[in-house]
Amino acid sequence: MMNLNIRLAYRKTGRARFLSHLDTMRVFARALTRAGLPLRYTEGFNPHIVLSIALPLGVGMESAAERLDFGVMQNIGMGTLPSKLNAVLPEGFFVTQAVIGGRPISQIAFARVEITADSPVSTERVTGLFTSSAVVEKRNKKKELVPTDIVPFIKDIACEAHGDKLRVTATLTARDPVLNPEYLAEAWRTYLDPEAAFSFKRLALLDEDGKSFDTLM
Amino acid sequence: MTPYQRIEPYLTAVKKPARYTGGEFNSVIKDPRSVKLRVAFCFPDTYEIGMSHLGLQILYNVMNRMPDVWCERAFAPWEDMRALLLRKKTPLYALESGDGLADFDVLAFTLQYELCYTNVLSMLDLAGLPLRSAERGETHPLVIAGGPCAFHPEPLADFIDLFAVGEGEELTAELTELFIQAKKDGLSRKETLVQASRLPGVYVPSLYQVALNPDGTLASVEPSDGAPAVITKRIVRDLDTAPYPEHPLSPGTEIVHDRVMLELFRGCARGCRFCQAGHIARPVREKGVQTLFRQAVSAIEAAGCGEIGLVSLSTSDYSGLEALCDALVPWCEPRRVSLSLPSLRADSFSPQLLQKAGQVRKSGLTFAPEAGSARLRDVINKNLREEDLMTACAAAFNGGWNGVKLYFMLGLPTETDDDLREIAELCGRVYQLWRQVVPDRGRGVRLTASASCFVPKPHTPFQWEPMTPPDELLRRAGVVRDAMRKQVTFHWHEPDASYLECALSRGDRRVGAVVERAYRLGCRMDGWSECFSLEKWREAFALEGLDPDFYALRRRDTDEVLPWSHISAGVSREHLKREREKAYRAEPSVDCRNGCEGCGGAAQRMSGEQGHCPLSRSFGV
Repeated sequence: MMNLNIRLAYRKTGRARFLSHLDTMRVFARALTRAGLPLRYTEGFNPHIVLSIALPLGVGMESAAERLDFGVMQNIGMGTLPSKLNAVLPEGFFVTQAVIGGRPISQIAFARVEITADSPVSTERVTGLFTSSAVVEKRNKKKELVPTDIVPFIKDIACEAHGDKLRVTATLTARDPVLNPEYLAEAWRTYLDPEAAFSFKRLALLDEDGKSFDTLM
Repeated sequence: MTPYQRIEPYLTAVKKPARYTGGEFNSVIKDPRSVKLRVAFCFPDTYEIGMSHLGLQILYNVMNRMPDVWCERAFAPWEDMRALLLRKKTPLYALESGDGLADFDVLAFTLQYELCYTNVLSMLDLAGLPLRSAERGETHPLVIAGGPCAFHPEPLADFIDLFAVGEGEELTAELTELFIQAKKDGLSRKETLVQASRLPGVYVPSLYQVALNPDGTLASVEPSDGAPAVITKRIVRDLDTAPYPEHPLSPGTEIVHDRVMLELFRGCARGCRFCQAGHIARPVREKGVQTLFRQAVSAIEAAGCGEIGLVSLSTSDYSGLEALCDALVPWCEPRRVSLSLPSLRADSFSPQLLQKAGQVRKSGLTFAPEAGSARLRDVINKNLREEDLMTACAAAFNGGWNGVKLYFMLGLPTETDDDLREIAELCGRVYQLWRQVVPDRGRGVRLTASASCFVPKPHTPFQWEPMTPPDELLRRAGVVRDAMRKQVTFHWHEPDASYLECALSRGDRRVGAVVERAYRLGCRMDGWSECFSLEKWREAFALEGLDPDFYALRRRDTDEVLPWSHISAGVSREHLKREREKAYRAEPSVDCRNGCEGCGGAAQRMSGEQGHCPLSRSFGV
């Protein structure tokens, strides 16, 4: 029996952004089932679909660059797979590309994110904070909260006015450790404006050389 | 900007925000300008509970197949979301369009149990609507309600414009058509309600005058404007042709019962005297095996869900269960769809069947003897013999199950301390049985006994009985606990919530003021133990000059006019009285499949036809 890994690239926007990582796995498990694909299941008493999503996205965050892997037991056509899945996915999910195999997920080194802030502070103060030092309570590998300076995990950052809001574009580490953009918001509330409100969007995943993970899948 | 769009930027601040967004697969979006009636189906509990409810899926489908109707959904928000909506001055909205509930033509509540009553008021309040029907005007939506509590609706009579009594498939369609026509004809609210009261199964409480005796009991309930003196429940005759949601809503976030639900039959042939569902859902009407197979396949394919539950009041009593499993299992297995069979009876349980259903996870089986002694089981007409329970448990242990859960009730009529100790003895004999049957004791066993508090319910033979007071129930739980051997884990329910449930279920129209008062005092989500406060409810009763004991603990005369006397579940008062007398003699009654007790539960005044009980016909009654 064949054992193929399929890699999907998809967007998660709108109302779907409120679905958690686990919810998103469930949504895809159901959509893959509805699409009638020859899915691979885990062994054991309670078999479930072999499925994983790279770099879990926080609740409330949109993304233009998600990656999902699942297993199939027969070859299936990649060309029509995105449209086939989009027909059975709920609102807010859109598969853009499907390939067999795919580059190892471990090569994702950075995530490019866009943070829109409703906060009356100057762009200079924002870039100043995130290029000097910004210490917040951050969970370490043991899930303990430890005061940590997050600036070393910010590869680059830019801030510009966007209407009456501020738009921050930043490249954050996506491994060793993963920097959740929520920590930038926390630093903002701690050092700049406790009332600030944020929305987040993941724009792209990058490899070690800062090249997009997209085109290589 | 819709209320949803206004609140969306703040949603990450609340727990599980996906409950408040909509956008589920198979949810229905229509153009509001293309429909003539907008209905919000309101479930007065959390999203996770409401989305697990088959009735919601059925009626959502019934209404949305009508081109002129758009049915959306609304649920009771959890406390953090309620606070957010209030802080942002944003009304409660329906999930499909995000529009505020006040903009709808009809709000249709389902009342699954009494402890959700304050949530009904909370949802009306969050919608920005006056709570009381009398205070709502021509521009407000009609507020209607159905579900089991519509069989004893008086505590909500001041808040609900119209109750739909009984099964909703046909009545919902008739009502929506009537509302569309009324809107077209420019009828007033009152004219619309008077017209609706002509439909069988409709109760418009504002058309009924209630008079009290000096002692607080009811003197009379008088209809006006041509409304019927007695409202008889609706039932669907032929479930094979009744609409079934073949494209069920498939939520992205986790809910309580995340599976496709396939209803095998309605009604129950058993006649357990404590059971309201068994009395109001009569008669038994089965779906055909072919219908069920076809519905299961389309619902599973449309939902993409890995589990299907075969549901009913007593699943192992379905006559086609084996044939259905024979058809479903070969279809489900290669698709990795598991079958679950809740509501099994110990005397019709077959381990072969469960094996066949592919229930490979042998964690636990649940049986409900309800009472410890054979005498008390006869009182409640449970008709379960100890040897049947033992046979079922032996089969389960032999079949590889390591755990059995047994359900009991405390506070049943005529219960003595001997009956209570027999609960412990029965559990002890199940433990002994395990020791005899299972050669490899290293594998261990999990025996659990759970006791709930008996609540005498309207439309049952025990509707006239007092509930056992909460402190006495606690003492009785202690008697069982002290007699229970240590190998059996014993849990019991706190009686306070059951006491309130009892007072509300048998309450009259005056209790409406108590529900409103309790809501104002901060009672919401009363079904959740972390939110429930009997003290606040006692305060609410006291402030309205009423005593919950009057409703919960009083023995009623069988001639008394009861707050639900004008609502008929078909089953006659004479039958309930006979059953009550037999209960006192510890005398069982026959199962509908073996004979007929002439309950009248099938008699439905519809199309001038009487008595179409499929079972009674075969007995010539």
